[in-house]
Amino acid sequence: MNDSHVNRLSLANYWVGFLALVAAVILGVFQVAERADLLPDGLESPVLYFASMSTHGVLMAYVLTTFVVVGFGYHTAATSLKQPLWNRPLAWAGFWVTLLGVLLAASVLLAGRASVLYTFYPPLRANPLLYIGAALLVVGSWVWCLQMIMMTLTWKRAHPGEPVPLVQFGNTTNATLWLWTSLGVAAEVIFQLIPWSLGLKDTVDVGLARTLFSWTLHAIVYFWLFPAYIAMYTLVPRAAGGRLFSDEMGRVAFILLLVFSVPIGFHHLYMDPFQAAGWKFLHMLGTFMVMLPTLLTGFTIIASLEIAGRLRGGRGLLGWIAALPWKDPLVLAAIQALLVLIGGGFGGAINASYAMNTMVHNTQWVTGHFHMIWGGTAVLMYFGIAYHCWPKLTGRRLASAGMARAQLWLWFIGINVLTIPWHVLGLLGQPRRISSTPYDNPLVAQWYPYELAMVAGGLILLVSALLLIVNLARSHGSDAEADREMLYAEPVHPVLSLPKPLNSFALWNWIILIYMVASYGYPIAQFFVLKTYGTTPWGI
Amino acid sequence: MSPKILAATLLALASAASSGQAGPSSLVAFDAPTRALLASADAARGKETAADSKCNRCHGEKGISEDPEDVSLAGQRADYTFKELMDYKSKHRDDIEMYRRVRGLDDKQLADLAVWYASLPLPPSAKAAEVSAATRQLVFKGDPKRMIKPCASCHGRSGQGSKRDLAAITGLRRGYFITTLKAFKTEDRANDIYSRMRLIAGALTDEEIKGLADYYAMADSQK
Amino acid sequence: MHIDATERKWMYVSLVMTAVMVFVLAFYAVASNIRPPSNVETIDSDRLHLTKEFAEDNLGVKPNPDGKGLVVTMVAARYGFYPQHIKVPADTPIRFRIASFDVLHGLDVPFTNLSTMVVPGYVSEVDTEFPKPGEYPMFCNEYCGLGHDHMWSRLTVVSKGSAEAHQK
Repeated sequence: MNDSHVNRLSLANYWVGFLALVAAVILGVFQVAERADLLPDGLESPVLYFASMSTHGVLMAYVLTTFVVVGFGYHTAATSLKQPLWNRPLAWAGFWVTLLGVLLAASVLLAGRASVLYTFYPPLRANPLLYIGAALLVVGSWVWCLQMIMMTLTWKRAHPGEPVPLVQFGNTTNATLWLWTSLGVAAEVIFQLIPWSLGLKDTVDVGLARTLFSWTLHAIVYFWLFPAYIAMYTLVPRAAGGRLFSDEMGRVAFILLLVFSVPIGFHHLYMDPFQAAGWKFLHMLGTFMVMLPTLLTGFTIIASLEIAGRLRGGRGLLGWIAALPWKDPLVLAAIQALLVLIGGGFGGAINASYAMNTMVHNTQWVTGHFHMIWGGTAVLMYFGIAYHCWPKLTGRRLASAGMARAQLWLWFIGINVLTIPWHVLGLLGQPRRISSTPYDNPLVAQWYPYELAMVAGGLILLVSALLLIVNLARSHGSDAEADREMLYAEPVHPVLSLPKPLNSFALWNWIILIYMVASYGYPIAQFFVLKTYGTTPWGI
Repeated sequence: MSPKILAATLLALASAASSGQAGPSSLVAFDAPTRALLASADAARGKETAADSKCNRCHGEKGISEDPEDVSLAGQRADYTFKELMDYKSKHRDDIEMYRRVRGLDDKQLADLAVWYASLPLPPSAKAAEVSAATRQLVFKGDPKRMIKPCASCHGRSGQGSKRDLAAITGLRRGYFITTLKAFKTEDRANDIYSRMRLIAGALTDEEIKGLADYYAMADSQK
Repeated sequence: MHIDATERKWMYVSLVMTAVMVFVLAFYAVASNIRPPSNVETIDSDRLHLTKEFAEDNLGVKPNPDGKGLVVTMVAARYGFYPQHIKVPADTPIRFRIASFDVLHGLDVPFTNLSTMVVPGYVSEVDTEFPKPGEYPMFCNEYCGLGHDHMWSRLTVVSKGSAEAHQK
């Protein structure tokens, strides 16, 4: 089914996301060069650096992500359900509102008036347009959430009792996840930061603000990761020439992610004084539970790939790996993403480890970790998805599959060269969010070689990012026509019936509500009961 | 003087006299009452008060002092000026001349004065072409060996100062600039909360102080 | 619902791995009281220098009135930690009490257990011991403004029982 409206909307979202990526990579290279002291004197300035870093963070963490999630969602929803958009004008309105938010935020970020980084922790105060732009971005994304849910409900009414196609089940899970988790940052921005930055409120309770932000801060990474996982389950097995090992376990993994990713934000607040250790311990338990869906996904996807490899003639214990179609950009991206997931996942387990987090908190280990897991696993899959979907969206063959593969290899290599030394810097004690290393300590000399390695990584990533844009842009004008049909993976065992909880969300929403009240109820309520002292705005 | 501040001052002086302990370096805190006071201060009233109290005699009609040893107040941050005036009054900043001038004024008037001077344009720093590389280094990079932070980190890239009591350091007369840093160095001036300036000035050499004056201060001939 | 036998085994393995990790963390949390700094105590950062505990002449290293070891009282203020040089003996229980004079900071001494956020409006407290004498940097590791790079101080750990150990 080819819906040109969906294609246009999807492409519009993807383009905003990928252009944001390229801009952010350029800024990233600037930053890594400054930290290694390689910039000429005129360009070395904390004003430039922190404006760049704030912009880089917003572009990568909020813009690239939201727009790719939305673009992927609309395209796969329409093609898997074989339905039009639930409300086309509203869907486009959502796009424009989100884009407006980005532009408002970008205007002050680039002017250096919002250098509060992508986490915008108070009491550093940015120009109010940053917070207003962020709020609009979140509200615009809620339009997408509504669309996903309504499209699923419409389909279910037309197909009573049937299993919702896995890809859309994934999109709906992600939409539900995002609605639950974005409430935290929305509350912080709307009730605290916007009034405070406009001068309507004199003080803000930093403890409450950080607690509300932590509500969003973990599950947001699953919001970003979901398209990658959904593609691994529903597109990669077929692209590799095989089948999905288990449809049901895919649903189990999605549900586990939904339930266990929201009420666990305190592993971002382990070192904060305003939450008691008991609550942090509770959140730690949930954080370890959320490892399970990733371990499950690893098994299911690797098993699916093994099926494909053996169907293609691979023999022996590991022979199937070489037999996989490495030439297919989506399959290549998936293999690379799974490899990076090993290191990234391990790092995540360290970060989650309660008091052990002390050793890595706010060191460059943390920054290295999320660049690895996000910039590695999720973004590689975003590229794979783009290469796979572009021909279907445009009706034209990809300009160059060879360039796509080269781009993916460069990115895979670059991300490892960038992030592995980054982790070491953290273990050697280098603090986060610095633009230079003006310390009288022998550690500074020890850090230096790793910083140089990171510059090399950044440059490789820059070349890769440019190849991506060139290839995708040229594909629009490519001569050869392409088949527009989206082919989703068939499971090994056909799904004839499903228990209701694996086909709907009512039960899970109740469980999340109860779990959220248990995990966040008192920790938030305490701020209204304790005698707390608010903080006035401070400049950057 | 508000009853609260009077009581606190007497208590501080009493405890300082009795226990030999220093007590806080300043009694000024930028809490809600102080912020409210500054928010309701009026520059026009401040201008009148400056004329009535003859502040202009030393500090100039436009807040730029004639005498190089007197501080120029034009464009100085209101928070900071208010704190200094209060510190003079409570003798946490020890200057008998200034004490005599401010002791008859109440908190509101001091706030008005602060806001009046803040409203005047801040003169730019000298940024003389002859500023040495070593001085420029101190301004923007500091000296890690002596744990000296760059002046720019607290006082801003253009020396414009920041919240709350981090003064604007451009537009000062050269003589005053040097005298002030030396006073922090010898701890004659000790109203910087948590010794933030005493620690830095204490590590600077006299040469470096003069170099910084080259960078930040108005030339002696300038008005 | 069909679950492949191998996948079922993997689920059990995953659960056991996860349970082992959680058990180890829980064990040390209970048995050795190893937990992150979490003392939930508010303070008026606007008036910090006028409080009794964080008054300027109360900062630094003092015997712990509760008997065991020492207390180190510090303030984080843009852009430094005060006092700027802390000297403590090794193998001694030390309680660090830190508060912010302005914005968010992070205090971190690499290769030790001393790490905590310093949040305006709240007092941070960390109990630790330093087994290894030496010179350590104390970094600010949370973005606190344009001067964040430059915010650091020194920690010297001297051997317990040495002459220096009893000086401030």
